[in-house]
Amino acid sequence: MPDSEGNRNSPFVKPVASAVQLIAVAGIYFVTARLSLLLALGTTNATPVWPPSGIALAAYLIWGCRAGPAVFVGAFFANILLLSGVGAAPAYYITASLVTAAGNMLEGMVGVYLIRRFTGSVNSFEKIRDLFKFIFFGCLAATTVSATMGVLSFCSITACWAQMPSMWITWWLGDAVGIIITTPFIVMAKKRMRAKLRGRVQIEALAVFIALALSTTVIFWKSHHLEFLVIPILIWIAFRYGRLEAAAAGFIVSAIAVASVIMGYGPLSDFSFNESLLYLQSFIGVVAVVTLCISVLTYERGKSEELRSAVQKELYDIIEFLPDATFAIDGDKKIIAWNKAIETLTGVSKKDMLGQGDNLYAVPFFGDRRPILIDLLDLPSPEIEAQYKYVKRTGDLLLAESFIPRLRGGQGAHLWGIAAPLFDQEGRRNGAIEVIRDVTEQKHVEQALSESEVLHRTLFETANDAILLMNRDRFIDCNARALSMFGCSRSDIVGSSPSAFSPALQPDGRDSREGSLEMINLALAEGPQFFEWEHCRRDGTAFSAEVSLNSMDLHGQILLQAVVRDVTERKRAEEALRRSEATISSVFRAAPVGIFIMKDRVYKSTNQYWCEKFGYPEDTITNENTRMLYESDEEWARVGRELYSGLQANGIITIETRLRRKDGAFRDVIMTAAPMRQDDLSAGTVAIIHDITERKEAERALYESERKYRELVEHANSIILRWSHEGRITFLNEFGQRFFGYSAEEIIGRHVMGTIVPATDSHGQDLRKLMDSICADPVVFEKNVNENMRRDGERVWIAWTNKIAWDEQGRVSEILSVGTDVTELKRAEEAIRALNAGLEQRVAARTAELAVAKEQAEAADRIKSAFLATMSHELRTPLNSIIGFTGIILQGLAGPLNEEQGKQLGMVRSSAQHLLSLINDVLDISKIEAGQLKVHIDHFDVRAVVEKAVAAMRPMADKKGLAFTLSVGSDIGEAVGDMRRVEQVLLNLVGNAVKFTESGEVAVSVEAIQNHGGGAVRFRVADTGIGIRPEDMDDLFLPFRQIDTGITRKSEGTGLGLAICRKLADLMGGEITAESEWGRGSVFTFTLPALGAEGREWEDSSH
Amino acid sequence: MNGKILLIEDNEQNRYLATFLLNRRGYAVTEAVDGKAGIDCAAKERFDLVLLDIQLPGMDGYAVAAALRGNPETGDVPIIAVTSYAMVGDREKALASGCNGYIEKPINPETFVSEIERFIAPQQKGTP
Repeated sequence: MPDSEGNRNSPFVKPVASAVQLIAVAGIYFVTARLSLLLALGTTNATPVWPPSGIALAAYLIWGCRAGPAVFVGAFFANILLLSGVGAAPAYYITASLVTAAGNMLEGMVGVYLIRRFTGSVNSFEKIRDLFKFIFFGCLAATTVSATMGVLSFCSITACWAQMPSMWITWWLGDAVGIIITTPFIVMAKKRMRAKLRGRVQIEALAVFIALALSTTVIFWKSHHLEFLVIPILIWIAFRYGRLEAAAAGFIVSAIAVASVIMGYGPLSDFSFNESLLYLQSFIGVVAVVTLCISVLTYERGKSEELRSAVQKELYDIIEFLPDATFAIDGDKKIIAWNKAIETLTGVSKKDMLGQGDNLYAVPFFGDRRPILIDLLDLPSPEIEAQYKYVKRTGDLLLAESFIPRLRGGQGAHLWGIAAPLFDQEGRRNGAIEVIRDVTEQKHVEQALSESEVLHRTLFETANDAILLMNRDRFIDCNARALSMFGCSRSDIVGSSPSAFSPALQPDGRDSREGSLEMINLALAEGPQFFEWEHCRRDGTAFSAEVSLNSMDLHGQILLQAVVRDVTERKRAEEALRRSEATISSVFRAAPVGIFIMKDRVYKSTNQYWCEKFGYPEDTITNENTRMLYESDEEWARVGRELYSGLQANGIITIETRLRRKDGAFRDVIMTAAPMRQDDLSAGTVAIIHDITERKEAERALYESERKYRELVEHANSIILRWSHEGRITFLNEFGQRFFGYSAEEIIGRHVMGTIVPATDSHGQDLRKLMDSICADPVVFEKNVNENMRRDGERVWIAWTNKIAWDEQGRVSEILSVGTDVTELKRAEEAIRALNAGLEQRVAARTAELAVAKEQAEAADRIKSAFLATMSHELRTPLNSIIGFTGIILQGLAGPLNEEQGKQLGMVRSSAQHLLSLINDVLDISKIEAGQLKVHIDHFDVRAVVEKAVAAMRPMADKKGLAFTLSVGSDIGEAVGDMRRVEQVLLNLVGNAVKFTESGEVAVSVEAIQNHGGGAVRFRVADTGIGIRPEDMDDLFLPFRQIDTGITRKSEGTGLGLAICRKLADLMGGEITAESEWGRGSVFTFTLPALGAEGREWEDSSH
Repeated sequence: MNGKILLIEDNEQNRYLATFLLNRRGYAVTEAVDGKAGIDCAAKERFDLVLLDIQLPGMDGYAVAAALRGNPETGDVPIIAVTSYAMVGDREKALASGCNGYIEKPINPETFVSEIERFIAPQQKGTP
């Protein structure tokens, strides 16, 4: 470091100033030395502190070695004064003084040399390292020179060689201490190394210094060993104030300590002279060194802090003006930098961001506080990475890219960012920085480039033509279409020669290889070539192609591009079209119908048929106006109007007109025209002409014929009516019109209903239905007579003959009805019918009356039956007692009876039993008549039943002396019926026979017979009794009829028996008949079917 | 004693007649004048046979038969309907309501007891 003093002074002033300085140094040295000698302890010259050494070193440090002579001079005079007083010879003390002065001079020079040699710095008080070097070299090492030379010279004068070691130590330490307390103070004072103390600190410093001085004085005036108490104050000063202050403090303390020792006070004076000296020197040295060290250390620390903050500020300045958006965060994630570029990018100003934490930096980008790239440094997270297109890690750095839609006013920006951690000087993480670059434009350019590339590639690959790239003789690339066109893979094409996909010879006979080379050379020499070429596929099949061959310069390489279009299909289509046109043309020409093409009513083309039809030779009519064929301008105009409006509306139009042949004859024609092109009528019209002249003639003839028939119909004396299948009148002849009173205009088109047919006829019959029926099925109603109505409402009867007219689909289109008035006839018929109806009505009324009567009778009958049933039932209860007790008494159970009593009681019992049988019969008949009696059909043994019945009656027959026989056929086994009822019937018949026969016999027989219903069993009971009168035969089986009331008394009976028998027989499907001859006897026959009438029931019950 | 018979009959004369005939043949007869009394008797005591009139005051014989059959205690005692009902279906109705036999009134005093004896289970016949 250059001497700042030297630089400031001008060259003219410098020598003068130097001289003054040197004199001053010499003077100061001398004075100080003299004063210091005052410090010598006791009688010796040994001073505890030798400040002149410090002054000398300071002078050297400030002005360099040129201060040496001054030091020498000062030292010499000081020594000479001292030594001259010792009493030695002048030669000796002068020599000693010279040696000592030289030692003093050299001491500082050696110190300065060593300090500069090893520190490389003039100021040793900037860094602790330099301070240590200063202490070592300046204080401790260099001082040995002075001590050695001084002591040698001194001892050589005084010859006190024994004192030399202690003297040397004292001398050396005195110099060392002198330097340590003096030199720093001077140098610092000279270099103004004061701390900048202001205000209260200055006052505080003053107070501390006073305190230091006072306390030191007190400590060193007392003999308590409390000298260490000054150390805290010194340390305080060293820390709190500057180096100069520290040096001063050290100096003050040293001075007080020295003074106290010299004056014999204080804790350091309690020892021997030499010990005190050493203690004092040690104390001062240690205190000064410690104070200095601490102050320099503090200064150095402060300096480096300053430096660091200056560096940091510079760094922030650099960040501030970085062209890339940059922000930085500290260890607590608070934003410490937010530069101009990022303000521009985000629109968020620095003052809003600095010092903010909690991921606020993410807000301008993402809209919320979230971890972003910079946070990934500490917190690897796939979620955060997902926000970016990619995140790359390179050492400590993170690189990422993303699209941020919020930026650029909502258009979005592609951002590329780097995040890096920040470290402090100790290598600790204390923050991070992220640099963001807006690469949107770059992206757009890249995207455009890549899109364009994709587009071109796509165009290339999807082209419908095969595109092949080649150099002069080899294919180097091709598109997908080429592969399909040549039927091979890319590897087949790439590397092969152009002629590999051609047949050996072209259709014109050229050699393919030569031809292709020729075309390539032409393309290279003259530019694009376009030609037809025969190619062949991999499988050898040939196809026609159009080839366009182009040369191009691709990055200095000459390439050829061949575009190959397969035209096989096109050629085929062209051929097909040509053929199709030929066909159409020949159709047009040869069609057996007149066809012409016109445009703007001018003939453009006419076919052969048309020409023949109209007598114009072919082509003579072309370009003639159509007007020449029309009869008149009006007709021509009409056809034109209808034609063009029809074409416009429907696209096709049919018009009837007359056209003139070349020979002048008119032809009736139907012209059907259609536009050549549907969307453009001006393209022309094609029309077909039908000659309908003959048809027209026929129509006219037909019309004539029809007119004749019409007259016939109109004047016929019958109603002739034609009506549609819906019922609408389409025709009514004059006779009909007169008859019904309508004119043709009034009646045609109206419905028959409500006009000539009333809705209902006089009998209320709905004629609408009739009309519907006729319309639906007229065949059935070919003839019908119905009532009709004249216009004045008069009803008439008309006999119609209906004839149907069918349409093409076989449906009824019209009905032709011819009618004749039959009203008079109908009236006569009506009269007869009315008479009949009266009769029928009377019969019906009578029938109804009879039905009512029958109903009443049946009701009464039912009441009677119910009554009888109840009565018979009620009567049985008392009979129970009568019969029961009579029986008991007759049995003798109640005690013995005499004969008379027995006889009388027998009569009672007999009467009671008769009463019971009466009641039973009444019950049966009432059940039967109430329809309540049911028979239960089952198999039963016929023989057993008959024998039982005969056995029951045998006592009575025997009593009457009748012959009583039973004959049962051998083939009789089982029959079908209700066994109990069969028994009842047989008992009745046999009982009657016995009852009504006074003499002769009763014969019972059973035989199997065949009757109309199949097998049957016939019971026959014959007697020789009174018989039945023929007039009574009819009533025989009716209830309550007993034949021959005259003998009733003799023949007890209810008169119900036969009635019951017949009913039972009926119920069982059998029958009972009677034959009789009055006075000779009767035969009753009871037939029972082998299979009962209710066979089903039987069958069911048997299973 | 031949066995115990319950006679349910409202007509005093008929009751007497039947009891008389049965006593003579060695049967003990318990008489009940209506259906309810009959059911109560049957519940108290075990009978070999029930003779049941159909036309009873209040509860008719069909209901009595059904009630006796419905009770497990009396369900297996033979019941014979003795009735002057002779309308169509009376027999069927009586059998359907649970009667084992059906005897029409007036009864025949000579055959009555032998008719009912057919319905008394043989093992329950007492020794003469």
